[in-house]
Amino acid sequence: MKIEQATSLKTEIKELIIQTLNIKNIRSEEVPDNIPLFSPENILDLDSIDGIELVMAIQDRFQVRIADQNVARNVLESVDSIAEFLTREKGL
Amino acid sequence: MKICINGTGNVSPQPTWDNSQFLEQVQEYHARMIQCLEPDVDPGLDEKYLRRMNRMLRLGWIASKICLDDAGAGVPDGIITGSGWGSVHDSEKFLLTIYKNKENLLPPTPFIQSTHNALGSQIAILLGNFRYNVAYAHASFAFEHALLDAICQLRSGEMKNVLLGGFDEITENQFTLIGRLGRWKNEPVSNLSLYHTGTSGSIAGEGFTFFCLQGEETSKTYAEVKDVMTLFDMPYVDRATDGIRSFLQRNGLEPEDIGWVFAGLNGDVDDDQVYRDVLRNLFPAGTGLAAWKHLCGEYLTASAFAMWAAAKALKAQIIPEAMKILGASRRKEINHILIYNHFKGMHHSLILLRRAG
Repeated sequence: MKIEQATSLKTEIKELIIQTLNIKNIRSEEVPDNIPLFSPENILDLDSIDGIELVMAIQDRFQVRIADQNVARNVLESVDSIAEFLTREKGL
Repeated sequence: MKICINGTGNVSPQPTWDNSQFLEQVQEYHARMIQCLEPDVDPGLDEKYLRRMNRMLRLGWIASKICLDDAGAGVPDGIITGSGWGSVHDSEKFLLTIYKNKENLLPPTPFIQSTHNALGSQIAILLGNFRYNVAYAHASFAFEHALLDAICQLRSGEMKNVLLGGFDEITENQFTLIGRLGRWKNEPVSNLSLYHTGTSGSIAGEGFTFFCLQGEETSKTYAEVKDVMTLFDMPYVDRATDGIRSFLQRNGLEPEDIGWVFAGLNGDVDDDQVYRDVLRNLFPAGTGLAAWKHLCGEYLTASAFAMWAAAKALKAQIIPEAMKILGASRRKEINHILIYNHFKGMHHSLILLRRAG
């Protein structure tokens, strides 16, 4: 996958997170790629309910299936991990 | 024991959230459905809370906060709410997702927020109040039953300070579904001309109205709630008339003691005829008649808007021009206001307020 494509995918993921979770006052550029999404160190500081909403949104937007809780936990680790999962699943 | 209204908060299709105003200016709509104005009020919550709250929870929270701030009474002993339709938007969202996802993975937020008690629970969480918390869901009697419970809790001494709310939200889908029952006008009308249309149906509305009820008067007291009564399944004008008369009598009043009646006229020719017949049978000429549903639209807990208006009127000793149908000629002071509402001429409700002091 080319660098531009990867950047574009990560931006799309960040915008999906912001839109799905109705996050105001945070722009996609401010969301870090590799800091855990569910960590207080991440500007988003998400929780488990956000996690389920995100799983649904990712499945819906990218037409992929996140098989179970364990897979979801790994996929939703960070923006980077979501992008890696989508790249693998979609053969990008 | 007196049941005193010591604080109010009202978010509606009118600019009612500012307690220093009282319908001096009203909003005109040309519509079949009217929705709440967004109050220019800081909800006082972290962004993290706000982003997950749906519109109903946000407006309801703001109304309750205005009410609690108005009363200055601190955290209530109980939170009692009534809602006829409940959390419509999130129920729709949840059900549509069940359908779309073939009953597989479902979104938790609209599920959590899809129930009639979602607002009462949310207020409790935000206030850190985990005491008595009950939601009434009895259609057109939801607010009246919540009020009755509040009165019982105060009179029994179980509570000293109750946060009482009546709320309903309207959505496009809800409007369409109820419209199939012929409840709404076929064409958009001006809400300020609602009672002159001479056609079937009303305009759909919504509102979030809260009261702080306490067992004693304070410097903030608006009015005293004297009584509330519901008449279930009574599609007869003469029996409804008798019911209202006996309601007044049990409060030591005769029809001529009532200065103003706030009637739930809604612009539907058949519904309004019931009000006219009952009131003509009962009240002498010179009794003031006011209406409120042209301001907030028709919804199942619209009587909460009327109780807000009556409480404000008793305190200010003014009936807003925007509400007057017939001016009172018999007396200048406003001592009692009777709120009379009915649902399709079948289920009638009465709330009696008295001037404080």
